Amino acid sequence: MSRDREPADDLFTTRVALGLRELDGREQPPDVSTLVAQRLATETPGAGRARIPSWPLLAAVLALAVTAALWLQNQGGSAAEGAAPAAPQDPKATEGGGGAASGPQVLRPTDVYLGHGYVRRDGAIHFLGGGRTGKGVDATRIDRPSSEVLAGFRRVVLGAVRSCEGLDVDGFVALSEEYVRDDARVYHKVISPGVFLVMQLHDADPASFEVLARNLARDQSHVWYYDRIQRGVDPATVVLVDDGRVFKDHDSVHYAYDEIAGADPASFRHLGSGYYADRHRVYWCMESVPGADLATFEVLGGSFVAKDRMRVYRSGEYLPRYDAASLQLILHHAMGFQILADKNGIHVNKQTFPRAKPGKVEVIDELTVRTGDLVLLVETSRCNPVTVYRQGGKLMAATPAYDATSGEMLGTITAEVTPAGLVGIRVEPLEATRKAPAVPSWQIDVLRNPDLVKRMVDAGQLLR
Amino acid sequence: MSDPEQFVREHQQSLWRYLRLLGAGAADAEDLLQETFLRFLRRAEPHPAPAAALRTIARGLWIDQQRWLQRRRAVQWADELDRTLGSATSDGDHELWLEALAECRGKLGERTRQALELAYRDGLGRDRIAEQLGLAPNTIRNLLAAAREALRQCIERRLQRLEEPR
Repeated sequence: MSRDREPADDLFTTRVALGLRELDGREQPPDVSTLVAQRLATETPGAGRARIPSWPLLAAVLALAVTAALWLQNQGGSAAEGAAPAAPQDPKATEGGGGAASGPQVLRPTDVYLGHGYVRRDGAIHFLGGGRTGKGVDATRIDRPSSEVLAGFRRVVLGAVRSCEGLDVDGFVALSEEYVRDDARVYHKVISPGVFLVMQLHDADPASFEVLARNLARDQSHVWYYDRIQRGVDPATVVLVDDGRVFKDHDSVHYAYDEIAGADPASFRHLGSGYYADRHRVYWCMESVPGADLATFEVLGGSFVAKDRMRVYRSGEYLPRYDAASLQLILHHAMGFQILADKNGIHVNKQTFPRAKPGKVEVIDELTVRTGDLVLLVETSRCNPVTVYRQGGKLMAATPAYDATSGEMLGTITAEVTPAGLVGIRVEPLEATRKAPAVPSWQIDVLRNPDLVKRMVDAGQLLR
Repeated sequence: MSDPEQFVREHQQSLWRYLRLLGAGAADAEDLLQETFLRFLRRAEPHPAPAAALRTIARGLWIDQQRWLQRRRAVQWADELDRTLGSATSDGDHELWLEALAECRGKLGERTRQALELAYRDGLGRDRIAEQLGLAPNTIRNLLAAAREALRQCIERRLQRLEEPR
């Protein structure tokens, strides 16, 4: 079999590939400093423009204003139907667009708002909800993507794609931000950071096309997930299970692009975060959770952590050291870690804070909690637990030393915390009678991180 | 932030490397780089750990960009990368690694080095490398596997030597 590229599919090889490119001058990091400063300046209050609302807020403001304009017209007022309101003087969406990066997008008084971020402007359709597709005055015009944007989406994401060139402006209907149509065709908006492309959706029937969720739609013949037809899914019976990602028809359940093997569609339901259940079993995403007790299974606070009467799970994985009966979720961070407490101690994800005993836990901020005379920090690069405490007049820190493969705790790394850094770093065995375990140097380096040390010093203030 | 431009200049190279190691192509990495800095700099309060916070934002944006089915793999990859890099957010750590790579590359045999550069620096496939070097594709596969292992061991040894006097 011929290969176009030699795959660099492990981290070391990827690092070598980039390193060789850098050594031989083939890797040129861009200088974005000026651009970032300029973009920031255009957003800063007092720099001539107001702080920008996020797109949903902007959309709500626009919808309200359009409603007001129509009401005025009905009352004999002078506002033109659908005319963009004058109220938001210089509204710009900078954080909308499905998470895409975006630049300033100005709504003009003559724009006709069509819903979901689309406007009619000078006889063309523009999307103002974030990102760009074309160049210059066509930056947001959906039927004039630049060749770079088109080539980028063709190359990176989608293979063969066709833009919405030839779109019928008069027949344009914004069904949602992602799906739009005219009388002849249906189109789908795809995004990448900073850019978007409104592309033709092949084989879609505009007359019967219906949006079911953000990226799920159907017509009389097909079901689409994003831009792909989901073969074998019955459009007549398809229903949403969870947020557009999970859907089912009368005889199958689907997680994004794939069918969940063996799932019972009649009883399949969403429990919370990535957990689902049918009458037979519990699932984490597409896979069943072995041994889970269906009757007592519960998801804690919409987090990745769940428990049943006997066991605790994180992302569907059984955590044998945790006690289900006493388990409490203390903090769930959107970046993917949870602070948990049970009768044995306080934990972050699968690791335990050294020295922490069960008791009252006070949340200080999203990375810090306090219990008794300890402050517990979550180290952000690895989500490691770090305990800060005072001992003999010194401020100390401790973190588990663990086997990098199995995650098994081998001992504790301790050090004195000073504003200048850590001193007296030592590795202590779990039991005093044993030898100190060998620990990879990077585990110690994690603790030495100056940013983390500063947080330890700050934590010391809480212990005074 | 008194001088955002200066702040970006200080951090952009290491963040760029991080994004590229995560798997972002050059164009995506540039967009993500901008977006990461914008999100960080929009904060009203100074952050106690800017380098780590920038990485956390970049990581989140990168993962968010992946399609759902690719996200678990992206998360695993990012975890592995963060484990490997540990707290090495400074350019100094990376420079040491690059020096080690340069030295170890020089120790490889001529054909092995050529195969390595054609494959990973220039992005050529096995068949084209085989054509250029006049070898069978299977030989290239074996050559590359040997090159990776030799580099891995050599770099580890060199970095360990650097750590010993600490």
